[in-house]
Amino acid sequence: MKNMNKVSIVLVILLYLSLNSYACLPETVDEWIAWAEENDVNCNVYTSAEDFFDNASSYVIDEVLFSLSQTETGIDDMIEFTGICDDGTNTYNESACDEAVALSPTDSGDPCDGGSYLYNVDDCNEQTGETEDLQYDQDACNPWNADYDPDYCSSLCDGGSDNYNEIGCELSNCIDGSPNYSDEECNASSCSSWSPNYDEAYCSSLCDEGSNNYDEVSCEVSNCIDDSPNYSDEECNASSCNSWSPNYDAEYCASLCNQNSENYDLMGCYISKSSINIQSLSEVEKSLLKMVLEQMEKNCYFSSLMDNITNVNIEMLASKSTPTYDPTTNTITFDVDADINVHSYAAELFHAFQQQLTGIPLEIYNNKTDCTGSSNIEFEEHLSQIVEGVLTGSYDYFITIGSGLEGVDTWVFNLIVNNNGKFPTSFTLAQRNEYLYYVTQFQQAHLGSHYGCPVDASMSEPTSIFAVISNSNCL
Amino acid sequence: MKKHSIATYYVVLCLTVVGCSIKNKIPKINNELLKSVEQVPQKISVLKRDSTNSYFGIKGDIIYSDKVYPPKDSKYDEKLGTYNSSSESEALASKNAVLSCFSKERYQELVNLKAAVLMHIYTDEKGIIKEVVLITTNNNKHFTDNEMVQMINKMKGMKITIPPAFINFSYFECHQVVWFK
Repeated sequence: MKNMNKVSIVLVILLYLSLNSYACLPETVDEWIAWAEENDVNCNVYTSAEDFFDNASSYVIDEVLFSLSQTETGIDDMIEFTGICDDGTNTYNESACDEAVALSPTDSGDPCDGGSYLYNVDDCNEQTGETEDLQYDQDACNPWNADYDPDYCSSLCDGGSDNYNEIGCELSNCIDGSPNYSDEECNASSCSSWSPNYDEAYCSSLCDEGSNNYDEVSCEVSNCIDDSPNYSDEECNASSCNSWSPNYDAEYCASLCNQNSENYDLMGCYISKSSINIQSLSEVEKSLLKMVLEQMEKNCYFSSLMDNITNVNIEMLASKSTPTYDPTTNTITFDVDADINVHSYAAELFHAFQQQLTGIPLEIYNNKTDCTGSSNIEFEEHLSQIVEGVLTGSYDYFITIGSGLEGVDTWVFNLIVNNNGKFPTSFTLAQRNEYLYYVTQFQQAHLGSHYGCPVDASMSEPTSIFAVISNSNCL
Repeated sequence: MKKHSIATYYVVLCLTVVGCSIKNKIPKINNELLKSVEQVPQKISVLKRDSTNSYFGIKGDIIYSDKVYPPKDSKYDEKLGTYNSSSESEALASKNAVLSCFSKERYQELVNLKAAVLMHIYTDEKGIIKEVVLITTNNNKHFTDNEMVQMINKMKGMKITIPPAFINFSYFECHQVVWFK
């Protein structure tokens, strides 16, 4: 009997505690916030309390985010959860976040689709040193952010948008203040056409040190910027590019300022520096290639590759099944417009650079007699993409699939980390052996194709990658 | 005396239940939500080690990272040995998600340490990040366990646009490095 009494008492206490904690849910917004914080629960986007109770189990997230507002229409509508997505233009877009509904109870993080983002008040407060709870303000933009660049414009001419790093901007967007963020057109002046006489060295001096007292006649003769330049003697390059950022690239920013101030011909610049011949391309294809070149120019590795390539022809040929490089004509050929993208262009441009640098025997490409070394060449091209991805992780995802490249990215990561943050420009004996190990792994995974041709053990270093790295400003 | 005590407990209990029920008029209690409140804090684990690196993750997350990619019996173009997508905004979003785990002071500390983290990212077939494996610098001494848990949780749930060549796979793998510089 005594034991039964003890058991009853324990059961009663447990029941009492559990029912209290389960049934007495918070009533006010403040209580909800306190409750969520206390229980380390991350709120999500719900349109009503009923919605919350119906769906909250799908969102088990470990932090409290969010703004809450209260209506007075009754218990079911007592609490309205609202969210702000990172497109900077609206509150929660239910349809855009449908993907998140399917999340399992162990999922966490950003429930929004298409880059939408939940604002994390706590983390932003940590970044900015603010201690009070600040509500998200989508109109305010704190310039501190690793990539925030207030001077950015997506295009140097013909109008672009300044919505640079909108997500990053909003991540840092926890402080009410300036500058107000807007997505306005910038660099509206028209782009000039490319000229074969473009002289980069001459043109870059036009806007030096805040003055453009250049020789207008000479410029027109060299046709370096525009067929009909609307030059003036006004000060140029006056705007400051200085903005604190861990990734601030002074050289790139300065080049943008110079170019912006003189209606700089971006396409002409890129084509000139890469010495590529695009005369056979249509206007649409040129436009696509321009976008590719713009993207590559922002990437330290690809920019170096473009800087060091000369006299490559670019053309379209529908009969080709994939983008190819033909060393006999030094031509990169695309099959369809969709192939004109950074990945394909960079891959074939790298092959062109390999040929330019080392004079790869044509037999290797033709694969008619002895294709020994073809696997080395193809592996180095794949490795080039991986090195680029590791070096400039902030620009691209890079993907390794199971075609003999397992572990290569980790190897590259270690090479860089153990070389004071830089990719080596030569290999030790041990590194050459490791390199040949990965070449062989790649070759073995592709037996039957020209990727699977015998490995040339004398090609034990990625010499073309070394050359690109040596001439780059990566890291 | 004991009977009185038990009776008192029952009375208090009933009053509390009734009172709360009347007060809140909660239509239903979501037990799954309550389970989430009681969940055990996540801990970082060494998923595997090789001669150079340790691979860190959250054991409860492991779905894909111990499998060969691409999934067996998948059809894929063998020329796609690597593929760099151009989803710059998504790459920046994930990078910023990682950076947001650190205060500015801590970030600067990691810059001085020349820290970096290589992330092996795994998504479901819709591109929702489900698990992340971390390989870090300096034999994994640059980051605390809690920081690694935070980084992983920040990434999970984000969405990546899967390149067309990979959309038919049951899951998707991509890698990204975040340098503190």
